[in-house]
Amino acid sequence: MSYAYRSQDLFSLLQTKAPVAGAALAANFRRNEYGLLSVGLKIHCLDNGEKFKGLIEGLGGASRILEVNYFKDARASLCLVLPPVGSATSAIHLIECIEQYIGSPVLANKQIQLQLCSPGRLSARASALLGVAFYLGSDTLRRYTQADLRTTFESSFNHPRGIRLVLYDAEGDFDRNFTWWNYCGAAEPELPFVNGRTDLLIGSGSRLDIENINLVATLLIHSEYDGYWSGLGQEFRAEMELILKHHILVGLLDVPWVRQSWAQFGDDDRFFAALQELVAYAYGESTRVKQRRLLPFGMWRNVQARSPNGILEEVQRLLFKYRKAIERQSRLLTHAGESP
Amino acid sequence: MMRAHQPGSQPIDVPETIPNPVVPRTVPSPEPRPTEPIKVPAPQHLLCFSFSCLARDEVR
Repeated sequence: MSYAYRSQDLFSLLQTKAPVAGAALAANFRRNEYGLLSVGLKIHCLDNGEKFKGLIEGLGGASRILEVNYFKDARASLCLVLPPVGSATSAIHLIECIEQYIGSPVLANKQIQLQLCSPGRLSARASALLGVAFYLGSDTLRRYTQADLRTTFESSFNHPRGIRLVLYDAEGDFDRNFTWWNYCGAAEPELPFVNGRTDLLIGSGSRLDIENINLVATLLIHSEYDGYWSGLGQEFRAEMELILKHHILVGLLDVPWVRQSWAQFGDDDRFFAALQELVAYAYGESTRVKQRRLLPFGMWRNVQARSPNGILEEVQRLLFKYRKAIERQSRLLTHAGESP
Repeated sequence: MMRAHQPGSQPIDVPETIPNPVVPRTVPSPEPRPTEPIKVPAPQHLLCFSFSCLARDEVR
């Protein structure tokens, strides 16, 4: 992940228009929350990017800041890589400071596609779970075209990434200096990965999206790299797969949600067909939930339902349950003096 | 908006995004927050009078 400026330079610049929030961010940007993973962000700008001109000039100019980075959304005029921060909260604060600086919204902006980066490469199946959990847990249900998921690395010779929602890194710069809670609950000063990320193309994103992806990526990475949340991560995987099984969607996890080095011809289309199936199911569920709410109390059973609560509500409850479990267990650790 | 159409059926317009109905709506902020006010300390040499102070013959 290449960004040719110092994070402190960015925070100093942001402080000129957001002095309080910018200073707080500069002081705490590496702070860890509940042993969750650090968060990286890329901003793909689909319009002419004029609003970012002042920020880019302040950081050293387009030739220094943007042109070192060949990767971007295929439709984007620019891709601004932000320095990684220690938590989802800091990532949201960073975006809010940028919104203040440029005087325009970044979140929930159709002209801005966000990419959220989590340290560590997930397996193919865990990548699928990450993508599905993000989609169903989001506050916005989206329809996609393949054009939405095309990047300049789609057919790269060295690092082809295909047309996917979930992407691996291209072995660029990697900041390891973030806290990692190891299996024993001790806070290690460095991440256990020398390199490697799993990214998600959110599109037009929200605060909830950033928090959800950070939560799910942490559970999945810890389950695969023997972190402190490994046990919870395994439980999460099992519960998520069970939900998908009840809705006859578990087969979606067998398609290649992330492009592996052994990718086969037609994998992009297989993935996109699975994504469309998920989208169609979620849109259908959305309609059913709305219909049920319109009916008088006691009559909702007349609406045909594949599940009493619906997959959207089940995923919301699952994310809520694991978020609370992590917060509760962290507090217990802190009180017992085991945690940093 | 995308248009889904199969032969023999009426074309339907399908929105590109819809709100997830099970997520509680938070009030969106269409515009970013206003720039933080720069706090300027109040001049120290000015005396502040109030009626209550005058009534009690106080100056603060």
